[in-house]
Amino acid sequence: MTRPSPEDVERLRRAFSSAAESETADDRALGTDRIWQAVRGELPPGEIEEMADQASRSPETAAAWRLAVELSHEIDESRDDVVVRIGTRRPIRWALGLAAAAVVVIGIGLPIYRSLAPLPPPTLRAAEGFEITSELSADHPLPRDAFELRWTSAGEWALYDIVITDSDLGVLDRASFLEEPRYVVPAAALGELPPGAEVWWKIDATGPKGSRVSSPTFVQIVQ
Amino acid sequence: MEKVRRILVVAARRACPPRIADEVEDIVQLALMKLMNSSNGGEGNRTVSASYIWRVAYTSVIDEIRRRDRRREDPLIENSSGANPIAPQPNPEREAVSRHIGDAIRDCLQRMVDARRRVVTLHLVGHTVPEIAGLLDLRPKQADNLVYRGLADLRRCLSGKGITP
Repeated sequence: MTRPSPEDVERLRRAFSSAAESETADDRALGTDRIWQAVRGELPPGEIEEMADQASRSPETAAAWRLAVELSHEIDESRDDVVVRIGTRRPIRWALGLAAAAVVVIGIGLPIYRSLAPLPPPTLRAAEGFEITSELSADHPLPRDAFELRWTSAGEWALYDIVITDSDLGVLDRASFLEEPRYVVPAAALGELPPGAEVWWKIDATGPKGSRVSSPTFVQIVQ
Repeated sequence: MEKVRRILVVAARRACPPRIADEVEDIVQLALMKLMNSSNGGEGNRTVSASYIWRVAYTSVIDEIRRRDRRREDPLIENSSGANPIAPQPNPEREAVSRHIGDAIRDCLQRMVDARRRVVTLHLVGHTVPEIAGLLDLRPKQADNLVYRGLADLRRCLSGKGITP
């Protein structure tokens, strides 16, 4: 008994996900959301077994699953996920856990911490081997008409979300989908702040595999 | 979004059936437009994670493929949709052979014991053996044996139907 060649397997894969000659009641396709979750390792083994059984009968499900696998491989091979290096199993849960912990720590702990101690230096070892660091000096006020915030890159494929608040945590501005590690806060968003006021800002970096890491809250002074 | 588009096109080219191979760029473009609309439709600057982007992009591509398949099956809808009459046409004979083999594979899978059927199915949708081990919580060696023996079962069954993969 010899192993089939990769070419043989590829031919089988093509045929397997091709449309059926006759549809049956079992051909109901699974929801694409669930397929994506399965492929990304977010579902328990028992559920994936049931879904595999369904895919063994439904060409439409098999075709959708195949695309999810190819896309998942392509995302992984783009080595974009430098934000957080994760294990091969249940990666999303791990990353979500980290993100949830970061939200709790920053949202609840920060105001208390600030009242007790000076702000930490503008750097954080957010995950093993990776840091999000402000590239600005907190000692140098920025002009409000050129209030450009910059931080260290989390990798070519990372996307960034930024939230900017005043020192009372009132949101001044926010932005999503940033592809570059920089953001210019519109002067209008800073309009109410007096000279010398503190602006707090925080970055969430996300890799396409879904892992996220949050920076600490950085402080910048308005000129 | 250009990065998302590039990756989607590469993956779709590998995975999409031949009948829509020439439409991949178009399908991905439409899917991304839906994605952008959906992410702009919420309340202002809603934060959207990259994992959300990939999931919605994937779902949108599948929806678009299924929509085109339904149109293809209904000539009235096809004719009224402004489909390009000079676009390359799929090879009906080759598609019929592929469908026939696909049906035979599915039939053979139903004859396998559960554990082998599941791992072979996952392998046929593109998962590697280590991935299968992770998804089903198997030891790598165990997953490898199941795939190996399952593929042997499949080849035997297909041979019995006069099909040589």
